[in-house]
Order: sequence, then structure tokens, then C-alpha cells
Amino acid sequence: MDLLKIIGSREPEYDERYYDFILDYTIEQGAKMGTTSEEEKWLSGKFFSTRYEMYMYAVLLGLKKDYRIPFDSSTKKRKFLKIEGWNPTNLANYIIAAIMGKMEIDVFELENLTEEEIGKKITELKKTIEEYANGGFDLIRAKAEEEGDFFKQNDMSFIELLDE
Amino acid sequence: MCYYGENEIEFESGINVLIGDNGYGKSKLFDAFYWVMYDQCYDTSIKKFRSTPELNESIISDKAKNETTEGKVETIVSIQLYDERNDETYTLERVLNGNVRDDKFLVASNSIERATKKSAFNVTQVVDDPQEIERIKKKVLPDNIKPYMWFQGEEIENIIDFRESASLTQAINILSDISKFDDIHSFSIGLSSFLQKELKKKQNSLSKNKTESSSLDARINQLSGQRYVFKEQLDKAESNYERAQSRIDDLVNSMREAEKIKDLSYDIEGLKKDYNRIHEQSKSYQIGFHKMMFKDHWVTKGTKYLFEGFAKVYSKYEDDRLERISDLKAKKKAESAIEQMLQSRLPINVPEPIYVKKMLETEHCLVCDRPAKKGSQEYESIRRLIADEMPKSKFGEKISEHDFSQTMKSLYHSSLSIKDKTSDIDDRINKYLENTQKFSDEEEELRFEIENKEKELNNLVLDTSIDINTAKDLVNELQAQRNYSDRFNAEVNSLTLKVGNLDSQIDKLEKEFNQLVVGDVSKELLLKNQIGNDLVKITKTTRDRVYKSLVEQLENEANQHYKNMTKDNKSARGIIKFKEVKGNYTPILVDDNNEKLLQLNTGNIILIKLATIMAIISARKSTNETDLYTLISDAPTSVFGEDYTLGFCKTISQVYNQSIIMSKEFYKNQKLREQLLQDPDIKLGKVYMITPNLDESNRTNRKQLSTNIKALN
Repeated sequence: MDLLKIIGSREPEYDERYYDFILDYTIEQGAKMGTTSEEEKWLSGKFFSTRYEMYMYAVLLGLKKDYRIPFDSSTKKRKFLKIEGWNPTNLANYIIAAIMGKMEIDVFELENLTEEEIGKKITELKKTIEEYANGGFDLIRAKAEEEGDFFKQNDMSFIELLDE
Repeated sequence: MCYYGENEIEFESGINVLIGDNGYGKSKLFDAFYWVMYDQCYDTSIKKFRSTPELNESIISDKAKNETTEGKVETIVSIQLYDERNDETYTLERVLNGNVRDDKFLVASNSIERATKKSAFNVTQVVDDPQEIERIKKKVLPDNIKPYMWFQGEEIENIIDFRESASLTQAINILSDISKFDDIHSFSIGLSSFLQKELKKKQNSLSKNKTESSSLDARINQLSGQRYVFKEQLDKAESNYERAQSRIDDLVNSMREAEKIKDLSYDIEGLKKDYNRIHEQSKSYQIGFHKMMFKDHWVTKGTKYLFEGFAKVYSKYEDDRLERISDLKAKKKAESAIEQMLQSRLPINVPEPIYVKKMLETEHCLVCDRPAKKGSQEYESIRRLIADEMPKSKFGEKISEHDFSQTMKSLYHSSLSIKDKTSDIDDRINKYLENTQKFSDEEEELRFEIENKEKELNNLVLDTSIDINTAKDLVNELQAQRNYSDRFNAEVNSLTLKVGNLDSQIDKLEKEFNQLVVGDVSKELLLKNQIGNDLVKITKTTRDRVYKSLVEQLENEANQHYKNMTKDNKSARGIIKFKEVKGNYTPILVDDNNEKLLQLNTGNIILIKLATIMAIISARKSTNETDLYTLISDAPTSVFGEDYTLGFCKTISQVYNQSIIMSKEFYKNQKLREQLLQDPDIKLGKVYMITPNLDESNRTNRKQLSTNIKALN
């Protein structure tokens, strides 16, 4: 059994209300995938090439600030790209490792569980990723509401937000 | 267009000024006059006049179109003119009809022209006859003086073309009596020729050898014909030679500046290449900045401690594994001990399993020949001799059910490499920003340098009137002009020789012809012939004298206007001189030593042209003819500095009985506007301010656009 493969096959979800919000900072991909050059991205004042880039950023921001928001049952969620599709791979691995650290997963114990039990644990891990991402998105949203121009006038804004 | 509703503008004698900023609708008022008269408007984008069918619905106000849901939309421009001399009033009107039906806007393909005439007795009469309307229009503005009375600022350049020496002559001919002198001179040539023929006829009749005389006369006529052709060619060659020489003079004088222009333009080209290279690098750095957030893991800034959490998990996992391995080892060791113990008695499979099984069946040891009852220690010892019956650990040799060690190793190495780089992310970002700034600074420096060089180049181009391409090709052009000059000079020499030869031949033949004449030709006939010849000379010299004095008068008038217009500008210089080239005159600017001034800028050239046009009009003042017509010009002052604007208005108001000019200079410069309204030297008519009803940001919304006209005096 390949643990990374199982984790990679999961599709984390996010709160639907961030669907359009993500587009404020990200180039719309989908049908036009791959047609947007870096130059266009820069010229249109976007920071992320893909939704998953912003998602990865949100998870890292949530982790950095140790801020996670669980979803309540009424939250409408959207499925998202499988983790195995995130790039760069080593950064995606860094996030998985960090989440495992936060969850203090007992890997040896995990090794000795049945496949079904392991699946449950991986679902828990995916849920933790989602909650940190949700926390990260909330921080970005709050900043954008607080200081309308923060992300508009500063190339360094997303880096600076990590420092705050 | 931008005018909506009813707008009435009244003009008086003197200079009338319509003030407005760019895009406020000044040119549309010039268009209004032009449209009524010629069914055309000036299209600034193509610098040409376009007719109503081409302009179509753009003539009609968008606001009017927008506000009409159903029915007629009408554009009417009406010009009313009062003829002081005959106490008559003419109204010329042009109408374009449009219609809104079922949300569609339809416009008539052609405009309608209307005219009325009100006599001194206040009787208004509708003019139906198109020819009569044309006659009225000719009264308003005759075609031949139209270019000098109604013009766009942009057109001044072409009204008198400095490169075409006949251009000024043409203007003089149109606006002066000189053509009458030309007519008289032509008439005298015809008369003289007629008298010569009469004399020849008489001389022929008195010839002692009529056949020979006729033959000589025919030969003289033939040679005269040839001479005429050669003389025409000679005049043309001389004119071409003069022009080439004049161009060579200009080119030689301009050579130094041209070299500088050429060098500057090459410098700029080089700098632009550098700029583009740096700009691309700078751009790719700026673009790369966002990319680096992920590529160089800047997003992991300050997350080092996250790795520590994972490291604990990993470390515990490793410990658990090691412990498990060690347990397994211990177990294996214990099992090995038992095995060894058994092997000390008998090795495994000795005796062979078939005998062991037999021993178990018979419950008797065949090795030591003793009974081994089932359940006894002996029996158990025999059973253990079969290898399959060895005890095993729960999971065999496996450490655990699933092996995640590779995953954990891979996660550990990925994370470690990122974690090791998190500590100097700030340095890397700063380094990146420094590089970006470096490129940006270099880019800015180059841009600044290019701007300065371009400014220098533009000033030089304006001052010298040498464009960049000309500058580059100047050497070639100079050579080409020298070649032309040599060729025309050779033509002049050859043709002069030919004409000279023909003159001698004709002279000789004339003598031979005269020698054949016997008897006396009547004195009266000889006298008539002599008078004919004298008349040709007199009309020629008179025409030349009148023309010369006309040119001198024009020169004086032009200089007076030039001086008036440039009075407020200390840097203005030079004297206008009409330089003669083979009977044609071209305006140039000379210094006090009569040396041609080069390096004129566009403003200078326009001022000379305007002064010349005004001179042509003012020189005719005594005839009162030009008083009948109104000068209408859109933005005539736009190409020269504000320093000249008041001088221009003053001069215009003195030269033209009535003028209407559209100007933006008085819009922003309030002081200049006050001076216009108060200067006693300006014979001022009405002054209007034109403003759109919408502010700058909403101006593109033409559906709401209308124009306000406010009288300032």
C-alpha cells in the first residue's frame, strides 16, 4: 500500500463562497488552461496561476497562523483538484508532512490498521487540510475587507501577510 | 454632431472669436459654414473634406437621435449674410432629415439646400433656381479666393507651398490685377506678329526674286519655329538649374545639422535597442516575482516549525519500527536457540521425515530403540524433528501489516530540503527585489536618455526643417542635386548655343531677304512695325515693373504683418523676402545682411505664410473688394506659441473687415482672454465660449451630449 498515493487521490474541498473570491487573485483556467502566460498574469494584477496555488497558499497561511476553521454541516462545499495534481510536488509534500505533524499521526499504528481504518485516517487528514485552508481563506478575506487596496497596490502583499 | 436644440450665433465686423478646448465643438462650427456652402465637412482623421453621403448620420446629434423614439430628426444649418453695399440679406440653409421608425434610425442620402433673399424693401423671396443659389454662394465667397479666406489651421502649410515657386505667383495672380498686364502683353505680341507678317508680305511683293524671297521667308519661319521650341526648353532648363542650385545651397548649409540629426537618430536607435533588452529583462523579473512564490518556496516563509512537528511524528515512527525490529530480532534469537538445542541432538530431517513419521505412528524411537508414547516428552521430541512444525511469530518476518517507510522517507526528504531553505527566504526575496530594481533603474535611465536625445532631435528637426530620413540621405540627395544641376547646366549651355545659332541664321536670312527687296516699303508700314515691336517691349517692361512693385508692396505688407504678429515675442527674427526664381517668387526669411535664414521651425514658416496671405488681402484693401468676404479659420494659431496669438488677432482684425476664428489658446489662458477682450488695438467683434454640457469623464456618452454657447462680450 502506497500511503502518498492514497493521500494524493483525495480531492480537498472548500467553502463555495470562496469560489469567486479566489478568482480575484487567480487567472481563470478551466477551458483556457495553459493559455495564460506569466506576462498576462502579471499584467492583470493576479498573483496565482491556478486555484490550487492559492489553495496551497491558504493552507500554509492557516498552518503558519495555526488558524483552522471547521466546516459546519450547512456549508456548501466545492470539490477541488486531487492533491497528486498540486505543483511543485515537494511543496505539496511539505504541506502533507506539516499536517501530519499537526495531527501527530502515529504512523506505526497506522501501518498496522486495516485498509478501511487507514482510509478513515486519511479522510481525517484531508479534512484537516480543508480546515486550515478555510482558516487561510478567512484571513485573506478579512485583510481584503479591512484594507481594500492591500492586495492591489503591492506585489509583496501575500508574502507580507505571512509575516503579519 | 455635438450641437443639439437651437443655437444662434451672431457675428459682427472685426475679429470674432469662438473659444473652446480641444473636442468642445469649435471645428464643428467651421464645418457648419463649410457644410452649408459646399455640402462637405472636414475629417481631421484623414485630413480631407467628406461629403454628406459619406458622413451620413454622423451629422445628426446623437442626443437628438437618442431622445426621439418615433418620428423626424432634423439637422438645419442656416447662415444669414448682410450685404452692406446693396442693403440685401441672404439666407443660405442646408437640411439633413432623419427618421426613427420601429427603433431604427434612417437618414436621407442627400441634404437639401435652401436660400432666401430679402431686398432693401424688406421683401423676402425664396430662391428656387439652383443656379441663382450658386450665384449667391459665389457672392459670399468666390472660388478663387476661397483657399485664402476659409481654411483649417492644418491647411495653411499647403496654401502657399514653399517648395513650389509658382505657388506665391499663383496667389498674386488671383488676388491682383497683374493678369490684365499679362493680357495686354499677349495682345501686343499678337499685334506685333500680325504687323510683321504684313510687312513681310509687302517686302515679298517688292522682291526682285519672289521665289527666292518666299523660300527665304519659309526658311525664316521654319527656323523661328525651331527657335521658339528651343527657347521654351532653355527657359525650362534654366528654371530647373536655378532650382537645383538653390536646393544645393540649402543642402550644403544644412549639412552640419543633418550630420547631427543623423548621429542623434542612430544614437536613439541604439539606445532603444538597449532599452528594449533591459525592458524585457525587467519585465521577466517582475513577471517571475509571482512565479518565485512557489518555485522558490517563498510561501513557506516562517513555517520552519511545521517541519519540527512532522520530524517528531517521523522520529516516533522510526523508534516504533526500531523497537519492533528489535522485538522481532529477540524472538528470532530465542527460536534460533531452540533450534540449535534440537540440532545438538539430531540435525533437522535426520532421520528422514519418512522414518520420523513411522516412529510417530509406531510410538517407538527407532534411533535409540525405546518406546515413545503419544503425549510423552520422547514423542514430542520426535515430532519436532519435522521442520514444518517449527513455531512462528504472528506476522512471520514482517515488521508491520503495511509498510509506509518509503512514503515517510520521501515526505521527510522533501520537507527537509524546503525547511533548510526557509531561513534565508528574506535574503532571496531581497536579492530578487534588488535585481528587479536594478533593471528598473537601468530602464528608467535609458528612457530618460532617449527622451532627452529625442527632444534634442525634435528641436533640431523643427529648427532645420530637415526630417530624419532626409538627414540620413542628405549626402545622396546632395549628390543627386549636383547631378541634376550639372545636367541642367549642360542643357542650358547646349540650348543657349542652339538658340544663338538659330538667331544668327535667322539674322543672316533676314539680311538676305531684305537685300532682295527693290523699291521702297511705305514709311507708314515700317513705322507700324516698329511701334508693334516697341509695344511688345513696353508691355513686357511695364508688366514686370508693375509686378515687381506689387511684389515689393506685398513684401512690405507681409513684413508689417509679420512684425505685428511677432511683436510680443523677442526671439522672433528675420525679414520676409520674396525671392525671384525665373519670374516666380517664393517667400524666404533673410537676416539684416540679406542672407537666407535657415533652421526655421514650423511656427516661423506658418507665420510667414499667414503674413503673406494677409499681405495679399491687405494689398487689395484700396479696392474694397476683400472687405466683402469674411475670413473663417479653425485653429490658425495652434501651431505657434501663445506669444503670437494676440499679435495675430490684432493683425487679422486690421486686415479683414470681418473674420471668425476658432481658438483654444484663450480657453486655458485666462489672462490672454482678458487681454483679447480689453486690448484697444484689436478691432473686436463677438467672443463666445463653447463648452460641452457633460464633464470630461462623461463626454464619451454622446447620447447625452450637447454644446453650450455663451457670449463673453
